[in-house]
Amino acid sequence: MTTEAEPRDLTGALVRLRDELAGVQLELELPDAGSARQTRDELVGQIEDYLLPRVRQMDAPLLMVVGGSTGAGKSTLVNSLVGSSVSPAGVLRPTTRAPVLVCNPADVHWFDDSRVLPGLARTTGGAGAPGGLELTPTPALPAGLALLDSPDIDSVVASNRALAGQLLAAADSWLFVTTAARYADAVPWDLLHAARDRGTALSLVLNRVPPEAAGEVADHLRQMLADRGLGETQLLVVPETVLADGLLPAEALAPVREWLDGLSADAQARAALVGRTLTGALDSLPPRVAVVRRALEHSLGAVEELHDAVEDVYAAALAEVDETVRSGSLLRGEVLGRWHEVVGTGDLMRALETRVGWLRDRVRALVTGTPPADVELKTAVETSIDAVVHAAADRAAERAAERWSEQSAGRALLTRAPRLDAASPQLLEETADEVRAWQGFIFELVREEGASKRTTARLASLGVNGAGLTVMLAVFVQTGGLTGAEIAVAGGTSALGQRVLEAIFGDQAVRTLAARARDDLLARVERLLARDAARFTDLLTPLAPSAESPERLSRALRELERAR
Amino acid sequence: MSDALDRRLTALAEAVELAAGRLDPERVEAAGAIVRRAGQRLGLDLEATVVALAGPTGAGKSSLFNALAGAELAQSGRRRPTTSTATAAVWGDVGGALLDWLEVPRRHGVDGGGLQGLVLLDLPDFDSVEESHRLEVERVIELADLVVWVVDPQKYADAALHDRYLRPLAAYGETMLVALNQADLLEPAALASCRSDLQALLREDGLPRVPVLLVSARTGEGLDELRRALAERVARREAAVARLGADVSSAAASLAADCGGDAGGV
Repeated sequence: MTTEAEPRDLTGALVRLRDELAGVQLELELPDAGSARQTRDELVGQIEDYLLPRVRQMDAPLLMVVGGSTGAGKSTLVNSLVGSSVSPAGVLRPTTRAPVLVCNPADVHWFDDSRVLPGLARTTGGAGAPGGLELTPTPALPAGLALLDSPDIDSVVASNRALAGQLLAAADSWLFVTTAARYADAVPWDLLHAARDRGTALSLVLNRVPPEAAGEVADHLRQMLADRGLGETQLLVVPETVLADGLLPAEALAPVREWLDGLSADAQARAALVGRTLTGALDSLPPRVAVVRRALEHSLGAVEELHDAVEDVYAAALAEVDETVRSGSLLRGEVLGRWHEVVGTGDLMRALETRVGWLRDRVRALVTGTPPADVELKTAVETSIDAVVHAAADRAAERAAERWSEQSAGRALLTRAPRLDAASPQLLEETADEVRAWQGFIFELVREEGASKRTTARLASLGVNGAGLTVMLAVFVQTGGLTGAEIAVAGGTSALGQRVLEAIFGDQAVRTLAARARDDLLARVERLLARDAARFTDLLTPLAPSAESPERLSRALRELERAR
Repeated sequence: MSDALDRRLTALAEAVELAAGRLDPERVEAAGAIVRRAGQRLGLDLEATVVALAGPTGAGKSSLFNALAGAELAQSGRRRPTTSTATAAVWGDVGGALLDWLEVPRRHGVDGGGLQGLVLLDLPDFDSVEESHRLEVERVIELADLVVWVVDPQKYADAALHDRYLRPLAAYGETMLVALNQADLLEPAALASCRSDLQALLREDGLPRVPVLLVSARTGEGLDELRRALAERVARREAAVARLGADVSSAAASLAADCGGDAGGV
């Protein structure tokens, strides 16, 4: 691959444009993506199959591609021009499967390497296999002009249609064959319009014309050509006739023969055709590249939109968890019940309620006596946080899927991964692990605090386990300060005095530790949610075009314009 | 026969109602259109059989139409595309309401050939540069009881025929025939292999049992066979019901596919 970057090097500029185009990512299913992908592939193909070989060797023979509808008689025409059966013809449609290239033996060296149409393997000796290009040298064709019989443009065999498009894009000139029955078909006209728009040199053969209808049909076709900006096109009329040994008789073929002989004899006319098509092809690049660039920009816009949607809903989910933790609402239900069991209920507690040290004693008793109440409290905290995180993740996934399904690219991505509209199945387990790790972190924190002796005597007196549980609970109540409502809730049926709880939760050391514990909890939840959000973004990332690619395309195009 | 169809139509109408807002709106709309159309067709002359000749430009639809009618009713010609509006040939006494429903303004009365009750429609092409022709064809083949696809040796393998029409209409195999016209242009051996190639393509389209008749509007070859095939369907007077039945099946299958379940009893 040539990569030298001399400023006026057309070949180098074409190579760079081709490489840029080939690297363009248009895999997101946007409304214009399908046609832009096709344009991208056609451009890459045309640069590779036609522009590069032609620019590198302006003196190579003129490549005339014979194209047209299925059953129009392309192969019979080529065979008749050469005077022997070089391309299989027949009544079964579609006939030509491997394209046949006919040229003078002296010209074979131009075509037998991968100079033109590098993607097609060369074969000789009539063994033309699909995916190949059959080379047939014959002295019947003068040097300087090669004929390439291409497959049909409109048959049910899709690979034939694609190959025909590729070959027509590689042509120095088209010899387009239609018939009296087909000349108004929509498909060939689409291709003729493409030839017009790309400035490709074009001649038209109207084949199989019943003699009595020749004038009427040819006139009508000329009118249609003129109406569509193709009035200059050479029209060659071949009558419907009985074939002799599969070939057209000389007099039926005469108009085409004469025209081709003229071209063969006139090197200047050939060079003019080559130059005209080359100029047309180069001129056609900017608007076609612009189509790709526009689709690329749409694609980048869609990537950003989809990314933002995921970021938004998961940020909202984290805020939701944060809000729930701060609001103290976790301190209800199961957690509250377990808390009451820890602090105890009944006469004993009431008797102790005036003593600030009641909780210390109580908790110490719990620790030494190892009743299950504190274990259950830990479990209840864990279950409550699990539930809150899971519900938030569920809602986030549902909202993200909803936002994605609002546009086509997002809808297509969602079909690639099932069940994205709910929290991931492993989230519950991951959350349980994280909450347990968080509880471990709190006990570690309390232990460190005790070791550093900075802690107050009151907290220290609770012991590690008691202090840990207290901090854990404090995370839920310790928000904008302790409110009466929170105390009432925390006190529950034990009717604990305000002072008792104030003493515990109001302790500066407890407040500081609770703040750190909450930050740690939220950091863990953020990581959990990020993992769930990645299920969406991981689908998107591999399909996202590089942000610079539109500009790189334009730069390659500007470079090409300077090199011309 | 018609009772069974009534029951299935009622079930489909119910399904459409239930599906509204739940399934793909395009499918629901298509199924609803089938219910409405079936209701209209059942209210018209059920004894009559509406047969449409559809095909690419230049296949010889108008020539075949004239040959079957035994008169130059439709203009055939060399300029492509020749026919831009539908023409009807009507055998015997057929209610005008049916023809009004078909929206075919050009009508001709025809006699003979044991085809009493046949409404034969000559359609424009579907593959020319004239987009309006294609739209007219697509309108009429939704209404016709039987479609005869007229093709020729040049165009029988075109993507425009197979990809756009025959494959999507695979559920309508019972309500179509294929006529390979211009048979006189080929030698007998070439014609036979052409026909088997066409049959192979039809199998790939999902239409393995559709009869392929070899005809030539110019020489009259094969016309009797085509006339017999039409006469048989006209005499049975079941073509309309059969077509509507195929409509209901395909609509039910389409809704069921969108449900992710199977159609059950509809």
